Order: sequence, then C-alpha cells, then structure tokens
Amino acid sequence: MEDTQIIQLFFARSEEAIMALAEKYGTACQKLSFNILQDNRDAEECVNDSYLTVWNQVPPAIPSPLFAYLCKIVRNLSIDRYRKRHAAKRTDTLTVAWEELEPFLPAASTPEQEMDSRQITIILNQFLGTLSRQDRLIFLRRYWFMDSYQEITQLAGLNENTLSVRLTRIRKKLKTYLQENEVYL
Amino acid sequence: MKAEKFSDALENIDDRYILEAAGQKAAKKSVLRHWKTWGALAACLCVAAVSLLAFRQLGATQSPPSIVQTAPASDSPSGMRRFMNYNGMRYEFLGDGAIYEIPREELGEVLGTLDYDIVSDPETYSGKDLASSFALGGTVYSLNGYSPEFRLAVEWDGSYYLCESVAYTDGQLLQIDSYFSLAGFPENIQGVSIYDHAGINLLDRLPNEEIENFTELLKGSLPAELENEDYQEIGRAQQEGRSFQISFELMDGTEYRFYLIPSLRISMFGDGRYSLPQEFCDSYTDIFEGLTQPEQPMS
Repeated sequence: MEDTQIIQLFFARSEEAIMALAEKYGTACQKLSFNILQDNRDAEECVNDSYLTVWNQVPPAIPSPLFAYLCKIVRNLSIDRYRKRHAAKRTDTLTVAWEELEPFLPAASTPEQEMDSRQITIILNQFLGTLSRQDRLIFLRRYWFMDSYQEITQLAGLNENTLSVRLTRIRKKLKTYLQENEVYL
Repeated sequence: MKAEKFSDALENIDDRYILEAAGQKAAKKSVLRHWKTWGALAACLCVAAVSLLAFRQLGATQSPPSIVQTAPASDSPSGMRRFMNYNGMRYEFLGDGAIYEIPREELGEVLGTLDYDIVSDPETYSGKDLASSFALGGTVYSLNGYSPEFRLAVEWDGSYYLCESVAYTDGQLLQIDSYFSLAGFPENIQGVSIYDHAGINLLDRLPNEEIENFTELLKGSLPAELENEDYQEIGRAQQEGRSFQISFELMDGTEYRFYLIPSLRISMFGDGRYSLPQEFCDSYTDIFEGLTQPEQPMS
C-alpha cells in the first residue's frame, strides 16, 4: 500500500493503518531495533511502541517520507530502552559502536562550549554531504542502523580489514570536520 | 558520554540520507555484490555523462541555471509535510523546504504573508489561504517567468524557498493539460531523466528529440477513480520496481518531478493519481519495461 494511503487510514483512525504499516515496514523496523537491543522480544515491543507513537502523532502530523519518520521513532525508542536496560553494564553492539566514535568526538572544556543537538545535526548533514556515496552508506549503516562489521562487508563487497580502515578514515574526517566547525560535545 | 550525544544529533539527519542507506541495503542482492565491477563501469559512464553534459552545455543556447539549491531541508520537528495555501491552491515546498538562491530579478510581486499555522490547528487552517505548515511569517512572492498557479517563492528569515502547486485546497485535482501549459512544458524542459521510485538511482534518459512528444502525450492524463484494490496494486508496483520517478530538468536549473507506473497506466502529479492515455503507453511502455531497479527499502 502506498504511504499516502496508509496516512489516510491513520487520519480515518482505522486500525488497518497499523497493520498496513507493519506489513510494509515491519521487517526493516524489527531489524533496526534488533541491531540496537540484540533481543528479538525487546525489539518487537519497541516496534509495537513505535506504531503506537505514529498512531498518536498522525494526525495532525503528515509524515513524509513515512519510512524515515518511522525509522527515527524506532531508533529513538530502542536507544531509550537500551539505556534503561544497560544503565549498569554495557557490552553489546551499540556500546561498541559508540566506543569506536568516542575518541573522534571533540570534547567541550566547559558546559557553555557544548553545542546544541539541533546545531550539531545541521553540521552533520553538511558533513554527510561531503562524503562519497559509498562512505556515507558505510558510516550510516554502522552508526545509524548499527549494522555489524560482518553485515556491512557483505553489503559493500569489502573485506573486514578494508572496512575497518575505511571506517577509521571516515571517523578521522569527522573529527577534523567537527573541529573546523567548532563542534564540542 | 560524547558518543551518546552525538548519536542523538545523528538521529535527526536529513531523511534522504536515511532512505539512501536503507535503500542501498535492500538492493544488496542485485547490485552490491558486484560493486567493484559495476563501480568501474559506473566510472566510465560518469565520464561519458559528464562529457555529454559538457557537450550539451557548450552547444546550449539558453542562459545558465538561475535558481540554485544551496542547502537541503532541515528536519521537520512536527514530521508534517511542508506545504502552504495560496489563492485556493495547495503548494508543496520543493525539497521539503530546501533553500534556494533566487536572483532578485526573478522575484515578482509580493502576494501575501504566511499568517496561519496549520501545525497548531490543522482542522481550522488546512484549507485556508496563506496558511502554512512551514516558514510561518514568510513572504510569498510570484516568480517571473512562472505562473503563480505553478510555482511561487517564499522568503523567510533571509532564505528563499520554492513552492509548487500540488492540488486545490478544496480537494480538487490539477488538470494536467492546463497545468503543463501554465508550467511552460515542454518549451522550458531541457532534459528528461528516469529514476527508480525512490528517485535516487538514475536509470535512463529520454532522447532529447522525444521530449516534446513525451510531454504532449502525458498532457492527456486524466484524474483516475481508484478503488482500494487499485491502491494496493499501486503499492505492489512501487515495491516491485514498476514505479518510476521522472524528472523534467528545467531551463532555470530546477526540476519538476512526478511518478509513472506504465504497467498500470497510472501517472501521479502533485497529490493526484491519473490515468495515462493509451497513446502514451503504446509509445513509451517499451522504455520502462527494459529498466530494472533495486528493491525499495520498505520491502
């Protein structure tokens, strides 16, 4: 079913809207949530919560594109759940991805120096625009979709070593870009 | 942890980057396994395309593009599509609110100010003139060389945005025959490109000598009366790679984009679905049948 048709169902407050959303995007959402939580049951609950969030926001929201809007909700709820679940101990995929990034993110020396999240997003959009399409894909599959190295190697046709070098190079580029734009976290 | 804050900021990056990354993953079976091989071929094609473009630029008699997109859209906090109403028509902000550089001389008269916030009260304002879901307080301008019923410009906070009509506020659809005339098609079209449904991968270009006939035949598209099954069929066609995004590359450097599903005889302009004329299908279905596209990310 077409996105506009699904949104019309949400506006009509028809429960078919949720079914249509699940049928069309359920698999992709489940995968994204699982990448973060590494637990099928938790991922399923997060995806269902995401459908409920869409139900509560549409209307009045008319999301376009619907897929990206839904993915952002799934990612946000999954990371929230991850934070609660792993407050004491962090050992899995998301932590590994964050630990990879940590040394490449310029630190603020004072709280005043920290940049607002929305401004950082604007600069990140610009940074992504400077990357080649392949580098952008690799970067986003790793740090937005939280894919494992193995998944990305299959996706990109690269071996793990090449991928690792490539990701390091992108992270260095990110660090330079953030420093040049005075982004401190 | 800095990375957590970074991750929060990364979450709201431009939708097109998310779709690009999601779409590429879905396409891995058909395309990415042969990335290196195709990469080399793509490099050759790029050289050829650049050469062709350079050749076309050299041979072109028209003036260079006057309207240039300078920044992509920021994320929409409400998640709502960015649109506004003027004189009984609904206009979509191009690129969902991308910023354009528009030369002063291209701007016409001031038509009004976007006073009403659709986001705050969709029921009251969604059909009201000068109501908008974006750029509230912005000034609406006509554009020289364009009918206000096709495109308008909005100046807001020192940046310029382009708006394109997609329907009437009373729900009536655009009449494609007159709409194309208002838009100046085919005279101001300098190229036609065929993309996959997501509008990311360029699949083919229409030979320039076909532009006039292609456009004239498309003008015969009439509003389609669709049942639920038809919508489901359209959804299937989009997932199965039978829907195509078409770009008319205009003389001023902008694009006009719409969708075609030749196998279902459906065209989609603005917010409407239309039936393609038989003559169009007889003439152009072959072009589309030969094109394959990656699976869509939603599949």
